[in-house]
Amino acid sequence: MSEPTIVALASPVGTGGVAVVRVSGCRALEVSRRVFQGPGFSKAQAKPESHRAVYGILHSPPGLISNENKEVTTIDQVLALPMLAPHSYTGEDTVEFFCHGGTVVAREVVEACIEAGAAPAGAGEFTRRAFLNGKLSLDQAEAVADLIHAESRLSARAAVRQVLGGLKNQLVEIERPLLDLLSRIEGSLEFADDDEIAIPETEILKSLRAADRKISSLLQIGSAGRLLRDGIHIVLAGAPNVGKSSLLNALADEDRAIVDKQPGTTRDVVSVRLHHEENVFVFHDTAGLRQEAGPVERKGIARTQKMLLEADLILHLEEAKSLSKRQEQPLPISLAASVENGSGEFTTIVIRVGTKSDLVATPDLDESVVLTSSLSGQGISDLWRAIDEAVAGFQLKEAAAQGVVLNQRHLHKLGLCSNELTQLSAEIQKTSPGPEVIGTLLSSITAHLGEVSGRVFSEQLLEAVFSRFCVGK
Amino acid sequence: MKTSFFDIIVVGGGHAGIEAALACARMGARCALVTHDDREIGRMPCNPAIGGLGKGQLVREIDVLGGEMGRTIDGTGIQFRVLNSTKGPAVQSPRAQADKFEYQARMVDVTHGQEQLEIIQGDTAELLVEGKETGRPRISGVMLDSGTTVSGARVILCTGTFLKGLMHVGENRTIGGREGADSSETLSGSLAGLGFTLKRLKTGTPPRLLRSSIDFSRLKSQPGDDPPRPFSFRTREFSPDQVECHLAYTNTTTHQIISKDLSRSPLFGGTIDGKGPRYCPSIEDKVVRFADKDQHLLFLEPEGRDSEEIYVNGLSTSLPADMQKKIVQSVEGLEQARILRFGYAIEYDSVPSSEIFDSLESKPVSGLYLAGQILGTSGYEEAAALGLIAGVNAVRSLDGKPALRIRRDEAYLGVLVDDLATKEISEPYRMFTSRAEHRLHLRCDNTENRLLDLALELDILPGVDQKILIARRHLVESITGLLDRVRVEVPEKLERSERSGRVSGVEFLRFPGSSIYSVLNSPGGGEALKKISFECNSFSTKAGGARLLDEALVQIENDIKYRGYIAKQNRLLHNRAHLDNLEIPTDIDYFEIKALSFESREKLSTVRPQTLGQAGRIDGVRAGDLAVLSVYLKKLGGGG
Repeated sequence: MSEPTIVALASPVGTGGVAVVRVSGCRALEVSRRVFQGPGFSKAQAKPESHRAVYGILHSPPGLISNENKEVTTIDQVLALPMLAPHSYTGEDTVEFFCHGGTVVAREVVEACIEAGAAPAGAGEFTRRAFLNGKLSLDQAEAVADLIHAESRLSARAAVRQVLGGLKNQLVEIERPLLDLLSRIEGSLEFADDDEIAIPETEILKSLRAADRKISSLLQIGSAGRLLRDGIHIVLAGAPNVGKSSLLNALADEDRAIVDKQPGTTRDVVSVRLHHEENVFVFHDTAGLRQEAGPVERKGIARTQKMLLEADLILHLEEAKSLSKRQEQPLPISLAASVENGSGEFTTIVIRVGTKSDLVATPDLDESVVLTSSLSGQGISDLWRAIDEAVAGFQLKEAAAQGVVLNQRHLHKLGLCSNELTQLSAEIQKTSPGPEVIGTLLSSITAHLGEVSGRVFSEQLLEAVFSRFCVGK
Repeated sequence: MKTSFFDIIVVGGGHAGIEAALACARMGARCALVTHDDREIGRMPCNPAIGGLGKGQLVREIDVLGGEMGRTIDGTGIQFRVLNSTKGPAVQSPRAQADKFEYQARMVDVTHGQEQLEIIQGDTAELLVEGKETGRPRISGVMLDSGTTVSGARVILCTGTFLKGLMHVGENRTIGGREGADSSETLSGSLAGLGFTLKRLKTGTPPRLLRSSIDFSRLKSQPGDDPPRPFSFRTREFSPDQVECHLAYTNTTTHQIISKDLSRSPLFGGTIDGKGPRYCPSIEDKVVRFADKDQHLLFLEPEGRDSEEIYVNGLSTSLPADMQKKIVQSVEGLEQARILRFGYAIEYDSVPSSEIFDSLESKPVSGLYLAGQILGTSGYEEAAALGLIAGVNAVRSLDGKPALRIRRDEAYLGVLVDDLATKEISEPYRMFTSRAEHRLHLRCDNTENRLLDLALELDILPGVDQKILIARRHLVESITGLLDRVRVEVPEKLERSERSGRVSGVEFLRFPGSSIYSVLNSPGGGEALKKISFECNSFSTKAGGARLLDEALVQIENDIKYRGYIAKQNRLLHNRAHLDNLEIPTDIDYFEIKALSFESREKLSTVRPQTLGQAGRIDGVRAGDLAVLSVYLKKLGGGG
């Protein structure tokens, strides 16, 4: 039984000079012949040479027998790269068309292939096939998902490490002592009449806590992985008209690397994604913070406050001229409220930025304040330096080097295990459940750990894995 | 020469064969039990005991499903103990020393007296099949070595260690299924001829000592429980006269005797091929593997109330006779001991469990079922459990009903069958509580409730006992409900700072150290407490009696004490349970699925799991393989 031949855009939507359209399946060559004219693709030839790109014309497919007179229209001049089974990503016959970038052309190429008999690919379908045909292991499949999402070099490096087993090594370190403890508990239950080998509660607690600590530190490093993958979120906060938008534009101009600029999901927040050095940053321009605000604006401010709580880094903007008065500046109210609400948990780094420095002659102020002028561009590189310094504390390089980038599933499972271990420790202290209870629960907890390391399978895991792949990979 | 036709023929009169034959006959099938000696039915060739950790639970389950083992040990036991009594109820198991002669005599009587069951004496030489030419052969009967043919629509093989049994004592080798009995030499060949793979397994037994030659004054005695508790819920009168067992220890001298001449052991000398159980090692194994230990514990167990034979539990060995004597006499208290029978190892043919479905029907031959040690298990209890299931399934298949599929969270019976269906058995399989991930629920105290529905469906038990089970469940449910409503005062010693005054009976029971009786005796219970008393009295007088009432109350207490943990465990296991409902088509070709590792393709092709859950529990099948399989099945199912 063979699966339908599928087609999809394999490169990111809408950007880049070249778009890649991939056709895969046992009829990939047949479909390609109907839409592509070039060396190796005429009907007379059995098969084009594998892994050799050829130049040619991509056109709409000729009509079927009932409609043979249908006009054939040229869509684009393209490179076609045939990769014959099993030497392709999916393990099936595959043809990739490199056409001119832009949404319209690529969409027409895909449509032509569909007209020629290919089916549009479902999310993650190429990878699913690669996986089914033995081209990828599950670990690798997940790492590929991260590679696809990896925008920065550090992140890509970590994803590559992951394939090499960084996470697995760390998990083994956690699993081994737990399994050791478990086997001792079980032994004490199963050979009751041999030697009395009960394990003291204090020793059990010690092992559980040690494992919990290791998982927590893994989670900590692993969440640095989130920053690698999703980008570092920086929120610009400050009073209205303090110059947030201008600063954002200046930062973007400095680096000239805007990936996209789109209105935020809320009407008050504008988000901009920037590459700088080895990292990806997402800047959020928030609604201004004011004490006296109407109901609509208060809503916006509430959102700003939420963003501040979730930020990885905060740029606190104040006008340089007000700073130069050598007064101790209070934090914006919402920010102050966040600090209080967070009951001391709010440890996000705040960089103080003085704006509109061109309006002040020689400001005399605290060294921790970065002075900038969005107008002249002065101080923008200082600000980038300050940001990079702050980011250095996030241990991103360490996370990348150890290959510990945790995806949502990993985070969820490890969080669950850590949580369960904490609860089990508390339970042991509180009610001293018998070793049979401890052993039973511990064996389930280790089974969950195994789902991260790959020792135990859960079907949902697979659903989760494949739902993460975007169309085309 | 054709003698007669039966619905079902059971081959072998051991613990598996007994339960298989009785279940078939009691479910109304015309059944024959073919055994080489009809006075040897229910013999205990090894340990004269029933029950033990994990095994005791099996015996309780067999009992509720109408089996015989529990009632027989209750009637013939000479010492009853609950093992792990200092640990939680979920890992406590009953165990009893049997008077093995009485046990056997009673089993002989029960089987001979069973309606619908005919005992045929003879050695089974060959399996008879039909339709071999056209595909999967169908069983049609057995041929005895006398040439007599016994015809039957279903055959259940329970041949234990008799298939090409070979006993070792040092360099001496004797052909036989156990001491004093011939082996079954041709049946192995018959199985192989039908396409069965056979595998050598090994087990062993310790020497037996003359009681009067032991100096018991120098050994620590171990009495039975007071009061003793029976296995069977059907046992009414129970006041056994209990005897003592004794503890002895090996010492460094013992270990030196063994290490010095280790090469004389057939295990280490290389003459035994079969794999023995790791959990029940021979004394020579223990000395080698635990070289740092100065002593090993031995239990001296009488083989019968008046028997002169003492079984030395812990001293299983196949060393030569002269060494066995030296070893025994090196132990304090056994200096003058005389060996009546020497220990030996036995090798035998077994059928890998990959040759059976989880109904226990064989894959190569339809209508042929296997149970007991032939499937690679160890122990009377595991054998009896499999015998019962094979018997029930053979009858159900005759009736056109689907085979029982007892889940792992329902009973140890389910764990046992599922493990056999999914694990490669490389050593004799014995039950442990740690094999049951749901062991907090699979307790001895709630066996009656867990298996009630199944018992009613099978309808093996007499009507009166079924009524008792129903009344018991009603009692448990209503009292559990009442305990939620009753408000009682917390005694000071249990009180915690945050609690004061009254709590519900359920909350009360969650306090460590509280018991159901302390709830029932608490002041302030009011109407609900009165109602509980009423329910209890009525169950005790009209249905189960005082002992069953007491057991039901213990179950309620344990249910409540474990409730939170069981719920937590169920949540933790939740995401895997549904895999057991995903069936794998029987004709799937694993070699077509390129993404599976070669090892997994081979494993899956041999085991042929029936559900995705089973596939996941096969040793060596990795998570990634399961993922592949699941995607493949979806594809087959048309999900794309």
